[in-house]
Amino acid sequence: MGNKVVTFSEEQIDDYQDCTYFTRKEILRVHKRFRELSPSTVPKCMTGDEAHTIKVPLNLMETLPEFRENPFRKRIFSVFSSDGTGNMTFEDFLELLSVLSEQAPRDIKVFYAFKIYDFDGDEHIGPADLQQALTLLTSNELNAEETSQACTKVVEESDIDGDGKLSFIEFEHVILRAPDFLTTFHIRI
Amino acid sequence: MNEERRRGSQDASISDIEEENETEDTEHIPMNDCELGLPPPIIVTDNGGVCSKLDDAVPNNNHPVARRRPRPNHLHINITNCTSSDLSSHESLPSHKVAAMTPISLSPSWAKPHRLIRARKASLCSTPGYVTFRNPTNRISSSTYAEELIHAIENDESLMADSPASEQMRLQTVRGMAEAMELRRNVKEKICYNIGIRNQNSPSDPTKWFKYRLKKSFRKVNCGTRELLGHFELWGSTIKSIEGRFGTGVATYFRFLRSLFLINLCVFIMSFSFLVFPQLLDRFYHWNNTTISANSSVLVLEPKTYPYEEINSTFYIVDLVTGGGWLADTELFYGKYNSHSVHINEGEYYSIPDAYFFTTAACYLFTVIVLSIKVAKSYRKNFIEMQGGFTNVYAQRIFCGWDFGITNSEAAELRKQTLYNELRELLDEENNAERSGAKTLIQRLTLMACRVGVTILVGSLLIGSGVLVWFLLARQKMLVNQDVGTLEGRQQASMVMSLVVTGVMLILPMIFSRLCAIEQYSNPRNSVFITLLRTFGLEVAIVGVLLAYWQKSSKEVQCWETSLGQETYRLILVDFFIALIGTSFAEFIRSIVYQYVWKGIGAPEFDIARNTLNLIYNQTLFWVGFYYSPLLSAVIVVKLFITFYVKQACVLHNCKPPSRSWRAAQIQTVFLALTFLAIIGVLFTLGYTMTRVPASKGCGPFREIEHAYLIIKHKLNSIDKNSNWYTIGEWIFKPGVVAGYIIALCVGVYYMRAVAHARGAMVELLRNMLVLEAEDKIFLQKNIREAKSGRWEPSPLSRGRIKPLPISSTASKQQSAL
Repeated sequence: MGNKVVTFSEEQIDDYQDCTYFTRKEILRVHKRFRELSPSTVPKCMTGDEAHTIKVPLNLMETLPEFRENPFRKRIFSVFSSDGTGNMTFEDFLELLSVLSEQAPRDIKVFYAFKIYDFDGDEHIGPADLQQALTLLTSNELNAEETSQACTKVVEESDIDGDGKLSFIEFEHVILRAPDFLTTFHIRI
Repeated sequence: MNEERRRGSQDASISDIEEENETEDTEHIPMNDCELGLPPPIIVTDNGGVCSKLDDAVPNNNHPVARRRPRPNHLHINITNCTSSDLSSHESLPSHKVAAMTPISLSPSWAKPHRLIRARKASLCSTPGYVTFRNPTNRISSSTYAEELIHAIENDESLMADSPASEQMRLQTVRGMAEAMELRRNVKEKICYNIGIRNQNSPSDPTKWFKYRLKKSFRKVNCGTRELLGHFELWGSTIKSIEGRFGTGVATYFRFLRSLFLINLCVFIMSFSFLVFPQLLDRFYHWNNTTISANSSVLVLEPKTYPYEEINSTFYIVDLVTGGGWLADTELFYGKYNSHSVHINEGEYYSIPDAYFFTTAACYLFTVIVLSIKVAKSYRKNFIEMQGGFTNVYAQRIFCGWDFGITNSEAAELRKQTLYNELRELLDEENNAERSGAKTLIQRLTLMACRVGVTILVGSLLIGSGVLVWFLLARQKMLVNQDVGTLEGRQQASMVMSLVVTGVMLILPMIFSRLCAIEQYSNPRNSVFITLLRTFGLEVAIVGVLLAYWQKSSKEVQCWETSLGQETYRLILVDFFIALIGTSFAEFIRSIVYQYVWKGIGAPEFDIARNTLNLIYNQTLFWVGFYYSPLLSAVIVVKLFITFYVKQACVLHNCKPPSRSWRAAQIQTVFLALTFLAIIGVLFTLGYTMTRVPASKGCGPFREIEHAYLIIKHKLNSIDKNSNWYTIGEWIFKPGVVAGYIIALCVGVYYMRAVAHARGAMVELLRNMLVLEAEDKIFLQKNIREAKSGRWEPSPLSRGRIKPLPISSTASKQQSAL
């Protein structure tokens, strides 16, 4: 069909369709948005290695309208980026949007939500993580006493085994009872 | 006693016991108290056995809890290829500790799983089973890790089988892996390759292969159509932008509107093509016997010269609004439809009464099916899977509080403010409750009396409005029928009722919400819910009175169906002008005033509950009137279309984002359920109408039949008694067979209920076990601490089960080694 530039090879598209929850059209749309962030570094044709080598830096990723206002954006990008710094390759970005899309099942969303809220990466959500989450959410409006009170309340409500922090299973248990998790933990691109 | 409990409980305890030995260490080792959590990193030893550092801590053979029954459905990996260079790269464990670990070679059956592969087999309802992996972050090289994963997948028979089901499961596995994309692609390619090899070797059944390919291509087609449909998604980008600015609550209103619009559009297409179109053809064309030559004459379709000759009255513009006069005799209403068959072609007739009956029945059935599927899905997603409960308020606010769809900085600010307010409220409530204590008896009694009083007031308001509607209807009938007064007078009289009803529908809900504030419900959701129910009750009252009146006076008016159709037409139109245009205009004025004149009035907010109830009210009116006025579907489609754009403009320009966070999901289910209830109610009334109320003799397609349902009877009687269909049909509807269906349905329902109860009980049991596990862990931690410091004394219960010596010797050995 003329001089159309092929963005991905058929094999790549098939792979991406199998590995994510996206359709072909959505994958191409994701690529378009990714390219808009940094047209100079992200090529139109990604049939080679570009999909997992070319990185867009964190400050550019944060300019995406869907993420600009999100208080957890830095943490989200660092969780999904392969090197942990927040600089995303196309495949990282695709994975991020796939997990946050409507078709992804609850399990994988809960898993990644846990990773996002676990700021210090110790595989538990402790009081420090909760405090950090609260300050991000309310942009420092709550004073220290209120923050710590809220954190203790959270641990009180959700900690089953009494170790003072939330493990993955306890987190999952809390999320299972929240009817709005699926609707809020959802980004449409 | 402890051991038995532990034997029956989850594997968590092994890790707990093993972890306990490390509690006194100075380095912090993350305690993983459940295997389903993110597991600890892996340590590899030189002799090829792989184990977690925590396993190493305990010589497992003597440990009583180590002799554990294997858990079913768990695969454990034996990883053999890791190198010891990874040991020193392990950050959280210094090398000397690592060296002190004794290797344990794991047998796959009972050992603690490092990376848990949780294989859920396909359940009865055929959700594909999948396997999820949880990885420790990048401890081993990715190729090795990929090998492990492939090995694990290949070990699972159900995943490697050559059938569409297992292909689906493989797909879910690959998608559900929480790994980097590159790793997944590698794994997927290798697995596909291996499966290809396997299938080459094994003799494949040609029919199975064919079925497999068929299913695969079918699924591809399915995918393709879904993509195509997604391309045509109506108003998708608009709704997304609204969601970004106002949050998910407002967006759900627009999605509800869109789905109602699409359902009504389908109904319109069906009713127009099968019902209105033939009738129109009959009006505009007729068959004429033209003689071509001397002997032959042929039937030719010719347009009628005076298509509107049967209509008596002249056309006034006002008729468009009142639905009377000229409009009453058109295809808009029931009265016009022929009771004879329309001549389509030589010898072929299209029976209008049959078409009328069956088309309307099909449209209603279609709507019921679509709505019931929506309600069931929504209920399942928001209630059953969520298991209800509001006990984790703080945790839910923090973890689910932020709406990730927000793209607007103003909305984001507002959301943060909302969260802050809610948390403050909760904290204040906590503090106040602690301080002031529970309400006294007198306070509770007064509150109860208040609530009862308000309920009685609301009830009387409902009854009052019903009586008002009845009175107005009676007055209108008297005025319109008797040719008293002028034409304008009659037209005005017919409008009065609609105007009053619409006014009532606008004002009373506002009064209800004010009254609800008096009742002081502790949970704001409850007050919204109660107001919702009351407004819905008001709707039911009004529509019910309308229907009841016309059914009762069916004998007194010449063409009561047309009158009822006219009523609904008027109500819908007046609601359009007043409720839609009027309130939008009022909000517009208010926002102008807020912006330029006086800040104190407050910016208008989009009231989701009131607007959704308005939609449900319109839809109910449409369903009531559709049987009596088939073209009403066109009216409602146009109205919904305009509503979308008006509301969208109103929201985007006038309103500010909602200040209370709107728990959209569960209220949405309630709305869908109310809509479904509405149509079921309408259908019941319709059934009563068709079977008990005699059809008008002077107009409409059923004028020659006593009751409308007799159409079915005639149709059935006309079937040839000797044909196969008749015998099959007769057999299917025998009383015994029908009783059999009902009994089978009851048994099915009972079975599902029993299963659900059993599962609920199991969930409770497991939850209690979890709590007991936690207590166990604390108890044992205490014991171990005491044992290490030499203070431990065996309690009578544990004597003979836990030998104190090995534990403390290991512990002391460890301490000396560290």
